[in-house]
Amino acid sequence: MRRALVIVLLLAVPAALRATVLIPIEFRELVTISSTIVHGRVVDVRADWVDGRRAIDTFLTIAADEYYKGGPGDTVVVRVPGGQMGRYRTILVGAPEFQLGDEVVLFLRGNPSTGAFIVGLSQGAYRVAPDRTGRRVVTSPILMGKSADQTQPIVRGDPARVPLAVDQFRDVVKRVMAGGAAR
Amino acid sequence: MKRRIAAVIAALILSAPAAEAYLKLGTRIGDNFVPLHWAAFPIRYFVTNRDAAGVTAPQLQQAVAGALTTWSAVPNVSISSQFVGFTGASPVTGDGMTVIGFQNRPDLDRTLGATSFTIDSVTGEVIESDIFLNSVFPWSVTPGGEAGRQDVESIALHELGHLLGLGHSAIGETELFGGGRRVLGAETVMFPIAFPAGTLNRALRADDIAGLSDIYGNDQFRSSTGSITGRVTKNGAGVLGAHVVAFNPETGKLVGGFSLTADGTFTIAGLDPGLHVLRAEPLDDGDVGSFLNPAQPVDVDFKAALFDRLVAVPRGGTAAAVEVKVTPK
Amino acid sequence: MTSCARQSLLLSVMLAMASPALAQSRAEISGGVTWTGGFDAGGTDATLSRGAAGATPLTLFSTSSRVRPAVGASGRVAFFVTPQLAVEGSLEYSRPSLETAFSNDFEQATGTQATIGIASYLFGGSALYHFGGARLVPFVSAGGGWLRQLDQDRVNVVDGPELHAGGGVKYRLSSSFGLRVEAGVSSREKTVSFEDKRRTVPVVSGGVTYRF
Repeated sequence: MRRALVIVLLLAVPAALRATVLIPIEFRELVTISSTIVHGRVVDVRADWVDGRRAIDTFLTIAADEYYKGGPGDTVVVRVPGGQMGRYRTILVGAPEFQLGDEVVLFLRGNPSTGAFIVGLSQGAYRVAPDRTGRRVVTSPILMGKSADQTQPIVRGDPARVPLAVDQFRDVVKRVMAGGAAR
Repeated sequence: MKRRIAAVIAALILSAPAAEAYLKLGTRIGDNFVPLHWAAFPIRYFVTNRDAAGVTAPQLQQAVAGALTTWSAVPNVSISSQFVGFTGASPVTGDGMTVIGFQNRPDLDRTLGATSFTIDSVTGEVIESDIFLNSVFPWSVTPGGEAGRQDVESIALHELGHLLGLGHSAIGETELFGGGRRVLGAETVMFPIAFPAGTLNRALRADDIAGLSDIYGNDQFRSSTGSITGRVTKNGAGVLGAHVVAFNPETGKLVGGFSLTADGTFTIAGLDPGLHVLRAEPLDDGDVGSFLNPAQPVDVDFKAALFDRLVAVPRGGTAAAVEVKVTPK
Repeated sequence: MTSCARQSLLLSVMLAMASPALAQSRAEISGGVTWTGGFDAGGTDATLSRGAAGATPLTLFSTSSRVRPAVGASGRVAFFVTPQLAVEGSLEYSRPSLETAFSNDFEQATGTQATIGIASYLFGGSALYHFGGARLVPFVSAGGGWLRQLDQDRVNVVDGPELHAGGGVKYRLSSSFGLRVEAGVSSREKTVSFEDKRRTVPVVSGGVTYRF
């Protein structure tokens, strides 16, 4: 019996395929285990067959504005699962998706020349966008405890946790790398 | 590997049930966002004939079957599955088969499991869907759980929710500890972060049931439940990306939804008739991309808020529209 | 009007009309104001499972609900079977509010309470026994009825039987007009609340009477 999987054109929700089960990373660990941390823009998006033409991955070229950690060159290549070759699109639910021109801060591991991986699938991908005042902010707030040995509930709506301007975000990363306090 | 086209397109249906009530998986085809929806059952699946540390492939298959039975047991939905057999195919290959299995993915060392789809971007046809459980982690099928090992059935239950078309639910709280982060509590199996290793999450909650029913519920479901619709606003303007939860003080059930449009509109469906409390909160505790497209201007700059009116949900209908006003941080 | 309320009213009319003795009894109508006491409507915590078997759930927030006392209006029609004994049909209407107070929110969410108005209709029948025939006439009463409550959106309905008992005093101003005050308790099997249990509330009413 054939099974039929149907795409039904509904009033579709504007949600990309964002779905997997993650082991979450605290920000200090994210900074520590990343070999490259780059702030830049997506200047190329190219999908390609991988694993003996058994899967499709997307290779992003990021033109670096600034490296917070590492610094292989003017650009860095990032590999994310999924992509489109011809008419077929493979989507790994939970993998981040990027478009040309996206401004990002990426926390990476692996070879930045041939295809580094984003740490934690999407957890190491931060978007930069203008807020309502036009200020360029990193849209996801940083999740980091006051100290590495403290237990601290994460309270939604915490007034102390707000999206940071790009330069403030960079400063936090630098302080963590230097082993300093969060803020 | 012989490729079989395992799906056909049926008619495009332009009417919508209680749409937008939950995060559903979908993709952009042209200018349209197309949700994923199985129109015919049983879902035929294979299991990769590959063991992981602590769990054999047959044990994995039994755990998957158990998880599918859990989803199939939701009242007023008719879904079913069929285990076809073991295969040497990996669970993320483009072979036209729905495959579930262990796969060694050290590049995804923070991902316990994931669901993938291969889609014809012209027609919207789903060619296949696969689930992998990452064998870099230690796993367990012990009925009571095993310290330090992730429970296969719990993670499979979550991933199969994605396979069926559900996105993530945000009904959960976390804490930072010892340089890491862990789940404090969750009232859904579709929370994007797993409980600590050794903890089971094998039972569906009200939110999961409402989400599945929103996609596959029959007329009995729709005539016996109701919905709440409204807007989340801040200083008069709509809030995109707010998490809104409806709580029934009589039953204790929590069911969630999101404001998915720029004007702050949200819908929560599948609710028991009766009075409900509404609570709105920002998704500022982690990766917005776990729930919504991060390219959208999701607003996280507001405090959590409880609505000042009890909302009466009718049987088979929608409550009078509400406006939940939130204040900036 | 529910079938039970119709039956109560019909019984009152039949008692007044069926017996030759009753054909000579007097009737009395009255109307006035009623105060109904409030009650605890239940409290539940919104909780999240911690996953581990036997672990105490995490409280997202706590609720505690109460139906507030309410003032309403009442109307009665009574028929005297004997000079002391009367049977009476009644209708009471009031608009209490159900208030849910919030506390212990995990994220200190703004907002302290949520409310909703209730339309409450009580259709009842009672037997009254009057003591003495002077200007000041004490009486006792007992009976039952049917309580129907709707939320302000008229979406959900709660129906259930009711029992009541009490007593009061009538004061004759003239051969026809008088005043009436009474107090008692009303026991309701079902009410708008978050706990399914019988509730007993105090009721006080006062008004004017007209006898004919």
